[in-house]
Amino acid sequence: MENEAILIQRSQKGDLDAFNQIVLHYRGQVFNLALRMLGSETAASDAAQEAFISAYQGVKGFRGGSFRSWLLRITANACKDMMRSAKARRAVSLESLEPDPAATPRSKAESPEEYAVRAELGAEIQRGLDALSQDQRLAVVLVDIQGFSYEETAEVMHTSVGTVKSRLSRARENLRDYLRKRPELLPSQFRLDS
Amino acid sequence: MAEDGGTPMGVFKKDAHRHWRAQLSEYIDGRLTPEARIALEAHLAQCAACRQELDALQSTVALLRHVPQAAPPRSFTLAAAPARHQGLQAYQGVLRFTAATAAALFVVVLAGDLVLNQAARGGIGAATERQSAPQSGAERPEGAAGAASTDTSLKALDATPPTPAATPSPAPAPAAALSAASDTEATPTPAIAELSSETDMKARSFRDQAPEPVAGVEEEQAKGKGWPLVRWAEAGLAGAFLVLLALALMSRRARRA
Repeated sequence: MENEAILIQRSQKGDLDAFNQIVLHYRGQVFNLALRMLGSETAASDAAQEAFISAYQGVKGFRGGSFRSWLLRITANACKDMMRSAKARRAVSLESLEPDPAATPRSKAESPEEYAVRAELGAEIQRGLDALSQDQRLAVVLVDIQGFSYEETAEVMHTSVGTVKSRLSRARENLRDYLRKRPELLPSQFRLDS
Repeated sequence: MAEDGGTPMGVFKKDAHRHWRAQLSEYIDGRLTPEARIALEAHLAQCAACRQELDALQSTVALLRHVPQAAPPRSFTLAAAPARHQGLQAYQGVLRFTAATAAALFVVVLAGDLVLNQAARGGIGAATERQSAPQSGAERPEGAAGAASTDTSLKALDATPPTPAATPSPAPAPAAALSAASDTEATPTPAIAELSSETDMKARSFRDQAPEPVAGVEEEQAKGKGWPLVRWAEAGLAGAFLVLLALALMSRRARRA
């Protein structure tokens, strides 16, 4: 990708090709955030597309700082909007029961058994995430799954670092308690001591 | 985990562990201050239960960090530039700002209206006290039967000017009374003629005095004409605020749809 700042400036002037370069660079992060927030590939695709459309329409309002944080905040808002609609809730509740093959790409180096274990783990984690509140889920997805710092997460969530710490701590505790209650569902090497 | 939650000491112990466990998440991320980290590690060295909680939390975090990144199902690139203005959505910010401005202006106009209204009432009150003294003296003579009644009426009129509420024609009234009085008399006697001239003079002098109260009344009426403009402004701003607020709410719903 060319220099991000230049692409942003060109996008602000209406250069769609420049903006699409940005889309290609961030589509993985945007889609994965939406996937972990919504638990459904279909819903996540819709939310990701909506997020990029909103970002293009609002790029003139970007005043500097972390573009990634700005874009992921739009994504989180798109996910929240989708969660509000009853249709998305029904889709989430049904699809999240089964492991999503697209959510676990298979590596050529791993065996089918290893892949199955990883896919099962991903599905179980997703069920645990679905049981969290929206704010706790967003905090733990950004920090522990996407690898954001506390400060970046606070930017995306439009809140303070202290609030991020609190939500993250509660999210981790709740997930720990959730996984403890279902030790048989976890692959053996990942089972927590009860 | 050996905790007695029943006794007061057990409750105290439970609260103390909660204090340490609340720091475990930051400890895993290396976000505790040096002093807090040292204190926590000292506690963990002595508390098996908290160490167990830390182990479970670290395993959970490790699991989360092991979650694979999914491949996006498509590129998400935009084939065509989406419309920048999607109905009300693009104007949401403008609508909010304009609604807020209308509300602020309404408050300012209303406050000014109240302040001026109070000041005007103070002025009107003073004017009313000056002009309204013996209210009974403003009675106009109705009809004009005889000279005595006419004289009485004239004396009353002479003594007291009419109230501001009186129509700006106090002079015509006595004049009408006078003319009515003169009409009833077929042939004015010399006494009555004298009285008529006297009353004419008094009526003229009365008329000369009339402009002052009339002017006061006109002034008050002029003030009354100024108020409706303010009312219109207030009503207009309130209406504009409500319309803009409704549009802003509609644009917000359109965005969420």
